[in-house]
Amino acid sequence: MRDKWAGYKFISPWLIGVLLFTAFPMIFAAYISLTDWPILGSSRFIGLANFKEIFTDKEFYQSLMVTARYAVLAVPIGIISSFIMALLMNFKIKGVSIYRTIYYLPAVVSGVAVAVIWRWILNPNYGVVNMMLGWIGVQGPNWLGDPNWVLPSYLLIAIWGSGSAILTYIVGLKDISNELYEAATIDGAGFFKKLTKITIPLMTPILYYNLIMGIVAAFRKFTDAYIIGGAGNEGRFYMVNLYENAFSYYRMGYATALAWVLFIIILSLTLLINKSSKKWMYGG
Amino acid sequence: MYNADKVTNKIVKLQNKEEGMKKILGIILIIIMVSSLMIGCTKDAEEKTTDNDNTPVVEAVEETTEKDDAPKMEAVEIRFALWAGGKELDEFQAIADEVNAEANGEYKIIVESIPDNYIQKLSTQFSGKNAADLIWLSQDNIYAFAELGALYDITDLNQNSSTEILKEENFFTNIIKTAKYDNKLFGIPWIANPVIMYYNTSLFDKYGVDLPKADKDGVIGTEGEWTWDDFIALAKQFPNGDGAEDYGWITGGWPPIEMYLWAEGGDILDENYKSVINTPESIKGLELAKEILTSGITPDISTVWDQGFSEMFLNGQIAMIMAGAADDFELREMNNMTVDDIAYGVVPSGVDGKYHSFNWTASTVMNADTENPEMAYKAMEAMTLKFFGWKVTPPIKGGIDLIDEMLEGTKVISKPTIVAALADTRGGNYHTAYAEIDIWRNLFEPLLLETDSFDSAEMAQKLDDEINKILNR
Repeated sequence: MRDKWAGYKFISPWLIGVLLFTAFPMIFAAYISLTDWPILGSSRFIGLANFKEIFTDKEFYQSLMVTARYAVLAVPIGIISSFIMALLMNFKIKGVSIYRTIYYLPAVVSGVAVAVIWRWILNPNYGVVNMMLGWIGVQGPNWLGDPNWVLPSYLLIAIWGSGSAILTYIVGLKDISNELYEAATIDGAGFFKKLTKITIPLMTPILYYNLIMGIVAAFRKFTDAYIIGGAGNEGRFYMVNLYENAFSYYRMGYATALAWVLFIIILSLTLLINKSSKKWMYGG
Repeated sequence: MYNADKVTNKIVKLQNKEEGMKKILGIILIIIMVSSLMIGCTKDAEEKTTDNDNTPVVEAVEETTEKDDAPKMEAVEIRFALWAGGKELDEFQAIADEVNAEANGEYKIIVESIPDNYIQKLSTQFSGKNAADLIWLSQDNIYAFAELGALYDITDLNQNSSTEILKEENFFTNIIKTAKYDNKLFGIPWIANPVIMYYNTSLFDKYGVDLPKADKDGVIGTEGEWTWDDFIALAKQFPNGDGAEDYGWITGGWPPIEMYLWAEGGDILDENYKSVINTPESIKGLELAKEILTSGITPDISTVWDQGFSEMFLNGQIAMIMAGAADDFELREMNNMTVDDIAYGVVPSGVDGKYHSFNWTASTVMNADTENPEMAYKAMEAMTLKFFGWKVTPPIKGGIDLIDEMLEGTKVISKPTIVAALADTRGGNYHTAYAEIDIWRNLFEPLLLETDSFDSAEMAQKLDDEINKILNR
């Protein structure tokens, strides 16, 4: 007789993992968000007071604005730049594997190390970027010390770190059948025609994946922002504000409520993209 | 008999149902995916902050010396958490070893170093009921930890102890105050580090500028006579300005903004933890800071941040720098100056004729949940007495005499200055909300970055509203 529980037994390691490390922490976090818990002492149930406070908290709006502005720019710039790089690295040129390795390297470097390196690179007096700008007679800005240049600094870092996305595009590009390009060539299609009618449409599932991952990564930006900072409040991303509330201001309940609001924002954006993907994603 | 339409309708219904199920499944999958990513995000945040989860836990290796005829007792393990790392940790370990050897097997100190994200890790340990018994805590955190019930009230232990030197009354009033909450004692301070003025006399010679008058003990800048206006006038005698090689003074955010407020009789919070930032005295203090920053006596802020506050002084470019008495400039590498070029003085006097030097101090506190408070207190006393012979400066009256042999070379000259500074030195009135008020982000950084457009009265009003909002929450 067939064991009707066999399937569940097979997936039980995953199921237990999800229940223990995802479902339970989420339920517990939901409870914490309804409390006034200073982390050091005991908690006090306060209902929805944390959520009410969030919507009157200027730090919340400020950090959300910094993060959203970064996401709006960094995600498309990251997708476009990494896609172009992938296209270039898809050509059969000598030593291409070396380039691929070099471009992928940032993806395996620790976030803390990246932050420290970029602080040095963006140093206005002896940083590499301003030194190179100096070669062409341009006086580089005070990247992290001038509030107006903080966002461009973070965009530079984002582009530099788009190595893992490049890899997924290359895999996708390799997967496109050559026959399609050959048929298009016979029909007289040029490079851009083939790009817009074959490559991009067939790459939309990968673009969809990178779009969602990019948005999630942008909204949860923390490590480098925490270390690099930035003049004024321009480097104060949502997660930095959340972290400070939890561990510097002794407001774990409020910080957890902030985490839930972030979760709802990301979930809404993901659902929105998922819904729209039917219109633009190949096979969507 | 089956009706074809019925069958078709059933199939369509089933298909719709399947579609519906697919949608629900899709949404569930997305929720799981996003939540997993969110949890990943927390992990990322923790990755940054808990890179040192395997922080070196250096166990005292030296065995306690038990007498053969003593009853076999197991030493009480006292865990001691501190932020030190590297050389400082080695020195601390040596002290712990000494204390363990002298404890006659009563207790054994286990050293736990948390060299980064100290407060975050401590908070997490307290929350998990796994914090050490004894803990180093800087003055700005003691109020919060005590208020939130994490610390043991050691008032009685201190009063009943036979170690006279560690009694409350032997500490400088402003220093022991930082270890108290609600009139109860929660820690024993082990270091005082008042801000003093370091002079590079070679630059004074180079530009023919006279050092301020010294008092009878050789302390440069006599209390009540040498004011902030005198200081600005003196610093202006150096080249200063854009592109200058040498400057009269330097700040990159140090000394803290509170010092300017105190000089004019103002503050952020008063002793009752009420906001006083919007008082005329505090606004005058902000104006004083603005005047100094716009007088051109310090390199521009980005240069200081890039080249380093101490480094520029050690490079011989700065005539005067306000830094902690324990900052060992004398032991560091110097360019264009030598250790003999360093002279010491106090900071300028405020409107009441006193120095109001900022003091950085830290205490050893005890975990409220420690299992054996009496033994932990014994260990705390033994360690503190050793710290007094280790750190500049012991925070007790006359404590500097305990470290005479440590004040080698030129640092010996600094002794009268440190003694003078200690008399008036103080920290802020650190309420639990002090971190959230965030004086740096909400007041000092805007002043440093947008000095010309900084409106002291407007900023004071704005910060006052913010502080009251936080305090009244």
